[in-house]
Amino acid sequence: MADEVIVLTGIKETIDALKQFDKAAARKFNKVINDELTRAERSADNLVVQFTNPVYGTPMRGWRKTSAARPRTRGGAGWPAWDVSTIQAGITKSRSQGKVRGDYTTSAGALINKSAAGAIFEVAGRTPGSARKNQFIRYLSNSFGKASRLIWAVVDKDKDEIQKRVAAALEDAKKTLQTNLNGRS
Amino acid sequence: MAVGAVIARIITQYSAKGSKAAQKDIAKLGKDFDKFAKRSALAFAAAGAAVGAFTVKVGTDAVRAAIEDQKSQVLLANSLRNTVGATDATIASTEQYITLLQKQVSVTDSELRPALARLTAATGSIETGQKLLATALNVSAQSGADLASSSDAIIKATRGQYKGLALLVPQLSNSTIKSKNFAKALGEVDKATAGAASKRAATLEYRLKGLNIAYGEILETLGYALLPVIEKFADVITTKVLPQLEAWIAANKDKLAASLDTILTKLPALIIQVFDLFNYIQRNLGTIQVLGALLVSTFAAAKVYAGVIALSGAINILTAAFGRQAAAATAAGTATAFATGGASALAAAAGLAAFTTASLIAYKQLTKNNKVLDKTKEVTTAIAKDNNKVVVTTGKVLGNTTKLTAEQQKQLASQQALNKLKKMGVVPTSETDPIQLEAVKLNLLKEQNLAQKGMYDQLLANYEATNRMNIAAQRYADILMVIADNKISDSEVNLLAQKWGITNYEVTKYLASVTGNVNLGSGWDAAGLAAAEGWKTALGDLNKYLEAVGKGSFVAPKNVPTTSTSPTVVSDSLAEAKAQIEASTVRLNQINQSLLEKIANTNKISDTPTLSGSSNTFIPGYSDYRASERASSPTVNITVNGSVSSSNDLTETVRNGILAGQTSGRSITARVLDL
Repeated sequence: MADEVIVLTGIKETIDALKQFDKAAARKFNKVINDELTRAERSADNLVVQFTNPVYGTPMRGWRKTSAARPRTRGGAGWPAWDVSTIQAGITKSRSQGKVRGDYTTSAGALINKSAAGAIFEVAGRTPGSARKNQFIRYLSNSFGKASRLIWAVVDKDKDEIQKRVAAALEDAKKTLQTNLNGRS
Repeated sequence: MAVGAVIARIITQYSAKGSKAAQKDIAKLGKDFDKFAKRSALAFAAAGAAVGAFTVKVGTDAVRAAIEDQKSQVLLANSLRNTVGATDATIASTEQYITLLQKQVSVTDSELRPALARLTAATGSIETGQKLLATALNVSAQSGADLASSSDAIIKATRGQYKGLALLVPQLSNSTIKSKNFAKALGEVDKATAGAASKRAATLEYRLKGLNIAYGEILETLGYALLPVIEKFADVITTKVLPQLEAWIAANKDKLAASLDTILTKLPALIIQVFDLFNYIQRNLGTIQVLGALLVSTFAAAKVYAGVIALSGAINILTAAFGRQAAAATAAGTATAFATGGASALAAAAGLAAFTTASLIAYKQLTKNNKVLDKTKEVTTAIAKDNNKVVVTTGKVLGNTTKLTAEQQKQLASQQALNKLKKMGVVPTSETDPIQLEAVKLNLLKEQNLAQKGMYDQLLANYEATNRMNIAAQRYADILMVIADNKISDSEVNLLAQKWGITNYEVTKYLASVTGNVNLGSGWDAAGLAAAEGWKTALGDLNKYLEAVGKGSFVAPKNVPTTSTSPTVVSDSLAEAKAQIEASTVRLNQINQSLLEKIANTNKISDTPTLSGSSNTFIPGYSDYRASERASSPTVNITVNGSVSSSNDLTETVRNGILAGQTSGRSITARVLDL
């Protein structure tokens, strides 16, 4: 996960103001953000397929492909099955702001990995030292790399470019807003 | 959102809520720092006072002892030099003798030195003096007198006065006293008091006294070591510290007294806080440095902000100047002012030149101002960029702060730093929210645009005033040509009218206003001209009215003669004018009569009103009227025979009357419509 955070300012305010002056410009800016998030989402979906062994249909041979026939009511539903379509459906984009974090920022765009199997594949082995004790994690790390294997892999890889493009679009939107304000004065 | 879902943020935005929270945190931090500063000052004052008191206690004793010892040494050395010509080596050995003797007999060196000095002086020999000192010590120990008295008695004995010595040593025989043999007397005294000093030193009292003397020696040693420092310290204290301390105490003595209790109770907690603070600074030094840079950046932006504000003020001032100039140009552009300002062509040309120069200056100012505005635009763009940098920096700083504890996050910035920056002459804006700053920037741009628009409006006014001035100048030149023969003919008036695009009468009025040579009110034809003008105006108004009521317009006479230059022209013109006037009079009388009738029919309701679609005798009852009123779209048309007045007016009058009658509760009948 990337430690450095680049904070953009005025996204919501710019969109709100643009809606009053130039709805087309607001739609254009929203489209830039949505396109970037969609592109990242597709990249993550492709990773799911890429990590699925074509022979086994799962990342590793022992990973079950169907859910337990009789899921236990106590102690959980058992190990989640690896179903590509389910995992891909669980990877979604979100523009919800969410809570204000301690660093006074909110989200303006994020990827979410909702499915249980996807989440396990994403974060397994994140706890330091766990790979030495667990054969599953050890094999997972050796085959697919360390934790942050799906959405975080995409984010770590493409985040800078996405932020640059969104920042450029934000600047354009601000200029458009400024032009509208000047026209009103 | 599903529980346990993994969320990866891609785009992060600044939160205004977070900004406000940060401001609160920073404000609280400033208060915490203030409290800490106050309490620290009290604590350090207490600690300093305690250490100072202890130091003063130890130091005072040591230094005082050293000073006293030094004093006695100096006196002894001086005495020995003066009396026996002792060298430094002799003095040093004497000091060693004093030190040893002090330990042996438990008598302080401050007592021994004066005694030895006096005895040496009396005998003229250090060696003899030391022997007599030993005798004096024994006498003192034996008799219980102090060493000084014993020494004096021995000194007097050396001069033949044995009374004092005899009192201290009763064993001294009268024969010896009478013989005045000092050696014999000294022998008897030594014999009588031998060993007395040593035995006294062995007693418990003098052993304790010996310990005290040893402690005194230690203090003296410490004091000698401290003396150089104390000398410097005393100099600093005397010249620098004491004056300020006195002033500070004088100003704060009451507070000091009141806070003494607080100091004693809060000192331990404060020590812990001090440790925590230094620990925090040590661990977060990088963050604090970045924060400092952020603050400086913010204040730099604030400087630019102030600059933009100042520039906007300058633009407003310039706009006002343009307004005044335009007004002045407008006044100068009127023909009357032009002619008045320059009765001669030369003066008029000078006025025109002055105005043209002023216009040129205005143009240059505006051009220059446009450049300034361009620069302003660059500056505001730079502000926007700086603001973005600040925001990015803020993000980094705030990102770093997530690693800190909640308590440490509250200590990100110091209000004291802000105050220092203020002292440096940087005047910050009260806003620290980047979004608010962005809004401020946009508002500034808007204000500048308004100011710029005002300037262009004023420039346009200047341009129009210049045009008026040019027209006036051209007309004035034409007039100068026309009046070159000292008269203005009809043809000349016609020519001017065609050239200027106005009527002959307007030309005449203009000539009158400019030259003052054409007097419409004093010539032989003044009455006729005035009447013609009056009729013309009245006819114009009448035609407007007739057109409004749908009647044909009256054809107005054209080219009313202005001035006449020959009798034949005058007679023809008069005949033609007379015919026109008579015809106009007849026609106007007819029209006037018609007009009076219309007015009479318009202002009051006919005595026998009729409703449309009905005969004159049909009068609706109240119930029928109410029924029609309740209809979805009732229409009441009132027609007045022979009248051209508006039916809408009459309808409204009747309607209001009916409603007024209804409100009053009176019954409404057709005959009561004349309300």
